[in-house]
Amino acid sequence: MIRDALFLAVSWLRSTPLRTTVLTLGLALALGLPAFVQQAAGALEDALLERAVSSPILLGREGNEYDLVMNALYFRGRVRNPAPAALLDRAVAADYGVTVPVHVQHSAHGIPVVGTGPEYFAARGLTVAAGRLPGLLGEVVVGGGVAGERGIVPGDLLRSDLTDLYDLSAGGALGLEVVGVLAAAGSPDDAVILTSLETAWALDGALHGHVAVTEDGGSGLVEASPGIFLFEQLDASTRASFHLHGRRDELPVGAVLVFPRDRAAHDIVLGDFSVDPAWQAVRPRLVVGAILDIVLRLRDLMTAGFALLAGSTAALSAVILLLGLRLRAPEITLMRRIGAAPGTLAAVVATEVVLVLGAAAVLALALVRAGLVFLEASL
Amino acid sequence: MIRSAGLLIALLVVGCSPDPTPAATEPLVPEAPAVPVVRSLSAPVGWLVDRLAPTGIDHVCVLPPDADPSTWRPAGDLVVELAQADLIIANGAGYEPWTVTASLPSTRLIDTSRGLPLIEHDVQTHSHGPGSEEHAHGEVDPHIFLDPGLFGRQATRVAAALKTVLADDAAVDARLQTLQAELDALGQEWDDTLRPQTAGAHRDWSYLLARVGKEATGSGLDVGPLVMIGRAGVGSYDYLDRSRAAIARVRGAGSGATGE
Repeated sequence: MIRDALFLAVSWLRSTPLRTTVLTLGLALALGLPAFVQQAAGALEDALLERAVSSPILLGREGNEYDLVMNALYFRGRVRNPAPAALLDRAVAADYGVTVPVHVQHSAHGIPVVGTGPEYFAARGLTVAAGRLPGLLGEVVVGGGVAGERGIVPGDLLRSDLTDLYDLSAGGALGLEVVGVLAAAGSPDDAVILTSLETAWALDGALHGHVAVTEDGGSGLVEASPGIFLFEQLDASTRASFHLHGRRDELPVGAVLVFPRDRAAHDIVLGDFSVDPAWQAVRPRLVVGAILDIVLRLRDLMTAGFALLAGSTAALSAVILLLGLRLRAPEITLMRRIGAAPGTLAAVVATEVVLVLGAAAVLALALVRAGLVFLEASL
Repeated sequence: MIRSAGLLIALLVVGCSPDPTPAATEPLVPEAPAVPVVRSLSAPVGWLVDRLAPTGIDHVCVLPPDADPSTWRPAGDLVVELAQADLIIANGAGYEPWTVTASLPSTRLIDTSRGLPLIEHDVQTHSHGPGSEEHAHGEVDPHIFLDPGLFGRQATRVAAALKTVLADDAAVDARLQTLQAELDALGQEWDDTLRPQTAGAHRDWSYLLARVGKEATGSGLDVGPLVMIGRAGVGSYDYLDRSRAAIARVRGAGSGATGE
């Protein structure tokens, strides 16, 4: 009996392909969207908060803490008023633990360039897959993800992007030598170029090298001619001529990431900066939590919307099924007359419903999986 | 684009964590290795490390014995290796100029010149053409270690740094006390030697002359006696012996030369 019911149900569904397809897609969406929201919420919450939790304290100039966190942790956007190196010096002198600068103001071939200290790699658990870490001015390592996508290997030369074509005081494009590629870490570090803070200053233009200047008439005042060009390529000979302009403690570091040595140091950092109007000590976990808290309402709204969608789709499917039965009334009457039992007709209809729901569920699962893969790739 | 879309979706669909309290297991500083690795960048500060912590550490002065600290440049591999050390002891003040552009850990790089009264010589002012502001490259005299008094303050900084990686604080303090006494005596010898000098001197003598209230002008005393204090050279290096040899050379030169 089941075999006959299955045969008839499949035949009915095949005889109305458009109706069957629309019904299956509608139900797949109704089932898949809420499931995707729930699955994605868990995965993305973990991904976003993991980064924030692994970054205990972020120091910066008083201002927008959201900009600071997004820039220093996720390498997105810019800090409008970056903190100077004096803040880094203060944190180092206070001996809170591991203290590293995070300077994210430049890019090369569209890839963000992060200027930081050598402690960053150990603090983030980053390891080198090929080559070595940067040591000299102009040397960089490339995150595992972007290196794989772009085919970047040690020995390649990347040219930094110009920040402002019309700003004569800004640094020009600088050749960056790739000395290593990091192993993929499944974090935002996979998608950036990491280099020293000094190289970042060279990209700023504050640390630069140029041909020797000549003294004017022994006056002691040297007026360099407009023909003096800044070096755009670093090698053993030009690297030695690079020098800082201005005071080092006034140069920008963007933000300072602090990994306190223990809980007491953690509280001391927060205490030290809570009373200082010039600086702020941000706990990224709270900032990201606050961002997620704000959008939670949107998520609730989306969940409610999806619930309504699922309900209306179910109702529509029921209507379509009933209408289909009504349209097939002569056919059903004929089946009764030739001896089909009422139970057989019910089994055929139930089998049709189960088949459509099963196909919709499989399609929904595929859509959820594809959506999650897309999200993982995009993060 | 894809990344931005992903982030947007993330912000739209993710809720917040109900518990913002930091975990007790937040990342901490890795434990120090059993034998601290200490690297010094020039001969005088390397000697300080050897005097203050002769045992219990893995110490190497990375500057080759015959190298000039003002022109020597380490390879990238060495800088990366250096950055792994527990302590990196530098004279600072531009004595190791390559450190300005090298990637070294700020938390473990000990600049022993920080906070000391540095002497600045003539500066060169220039600009980079229209649109560029006129600026100057100041030239700080990096030969702080020539003055035993300032060198003693550098020793205090080195001792403080060593105590962060060594278990036996008292031993370091005891060695520091002994060293300070020797440096005080050396300083007195320099004062007695330089006070009678009346002619000019090369500007590298600035820190020593400042001890007796004089300025370095002219070239009556050349840098010869001083060079051997800064550079390791061949054979063993001992700051006190080198300084006393320099004093002997100045005294041997008779009524040389420094100007008021």
